Amino acid sequence: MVAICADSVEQNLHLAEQQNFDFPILSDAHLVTTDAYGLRHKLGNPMESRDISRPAVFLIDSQGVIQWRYLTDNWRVRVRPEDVVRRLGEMP
Amino acid sequence: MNNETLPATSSRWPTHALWFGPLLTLAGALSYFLYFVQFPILRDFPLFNLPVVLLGLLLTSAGAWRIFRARGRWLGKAFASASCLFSLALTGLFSFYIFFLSYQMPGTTAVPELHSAAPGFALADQNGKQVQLSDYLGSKLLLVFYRGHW
Repeated sequence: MVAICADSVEQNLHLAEQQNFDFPILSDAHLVTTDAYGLRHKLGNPMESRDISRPAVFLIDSQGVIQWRYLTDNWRVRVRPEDVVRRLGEMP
Repeated sequence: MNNETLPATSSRWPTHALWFGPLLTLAGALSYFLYFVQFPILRDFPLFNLPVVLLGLLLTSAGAWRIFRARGRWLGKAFASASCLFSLALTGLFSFYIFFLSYQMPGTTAVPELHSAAPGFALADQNGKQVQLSDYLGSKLLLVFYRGHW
């Protein structure tokens, strides 16, 4: 599992230490990867007037092909862990 | 105003309702963000919090209605009005966020399709180490985009 957000490396380190996360949290501060995946949320952070990534999940197989994706039209509504586990199990 | 014409009611419930109603509304709204968002079923639709918020509003309205119907002092009516306004505003804000604001996202732009090659990436992880898509070729990868902490 790899997480990506627009926060800085320092913010991500703080989060990882605070939550004891051992998976990589990538800093996409310039939203290059976010744009490559079409997920830019313009001014999604109104507090700092910054663009951020919208929530989304992709399952990528061992060949680098997208086998499942979950987008949302509401930032409160996210993928459910049990759905990810099920899809992961179904993936070749 | 002739208070002696009022029935000698010892009932204090309207006043209690005017305190407890707004508090219940506040508790219902705050606990959604502080606690209940971690349960997907109660998060996607506020199955628990919305009824609590509405119950608080109902309680406030019932108390205020009783106060206004009785020919009481202006102070009681002012308090009833303030209490009602608070519960109503909070219920409005909570509903606005849940049913309108959180849907305000721009459309997605050219999200990679199913069964297409995942766009490559090369970004620094929390330790400053470069991580790229090709590191994961040969194994399954769950890629999670999220809004960040701010």
